[in-house]
Amino acid sequence: MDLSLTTREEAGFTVVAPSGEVDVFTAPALDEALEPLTSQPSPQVIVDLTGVDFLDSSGLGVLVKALKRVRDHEGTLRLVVTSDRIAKVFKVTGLDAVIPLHATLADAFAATH
Amino acid sequence: MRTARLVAAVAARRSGVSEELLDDVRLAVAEACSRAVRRHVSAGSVVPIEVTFTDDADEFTVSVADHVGGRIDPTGSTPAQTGPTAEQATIDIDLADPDALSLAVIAGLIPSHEVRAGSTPGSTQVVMSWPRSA
Repeated sequence: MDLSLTTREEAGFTVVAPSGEVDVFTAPALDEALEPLTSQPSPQVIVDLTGVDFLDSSGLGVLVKALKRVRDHEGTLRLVVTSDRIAKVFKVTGLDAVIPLHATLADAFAATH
Repeated sequence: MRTARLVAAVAARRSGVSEELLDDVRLAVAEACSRAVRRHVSAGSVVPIEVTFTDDADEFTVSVADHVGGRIDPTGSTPAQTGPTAEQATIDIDLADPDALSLAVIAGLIPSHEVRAGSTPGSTQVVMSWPRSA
């Protein structure tokens, strides 16, 4: 039940950094935070999952929704994933091919896609 | 949810599931529980979800049962539905639905899992097994 969120502007991106567990109970809080940020014209959003120690399909669903909004508004959504355990959830569903995963925030800033 | 994960990992370890599979057990059981919770919430059900751990000679099996109506119609004998394989689990973003995503995660972790009809009409049961090495 514990998830905290910080949002900041950096290097032309809005960086959303959830911390804690993203599951069926906490994913709505992440969705609420991302909805307005990803609905603006040309949103440039990075979700930094470094502080997340558990993420299930509820979290994936929120990120897929965010990606769809970002694409609708011709923007960018990038993810920072440092944990193998979190990366595995993206890999087993093939979502890592759909949403770019980056090992560091610097990589996410520098990416060209 | 955290409790279900912890209990699943402890039960799996005691059963003799190898250490490198414990993360998969934790994640798969949590995912099946999330799916069951979503089904209950959608149906407005407050009936508890049932998680069962079973050891047999070769396998450690976890069953996560919901008790609400759903997409699997258990008419006739008990039909078994095998989830999509990892290869099939590509995501159509326009059509992504939470249940499909949930089953894709489970299928990616345990290709041989089954989604069976549950004990009450419309309910489902996700059954997942791992080899016991000890």
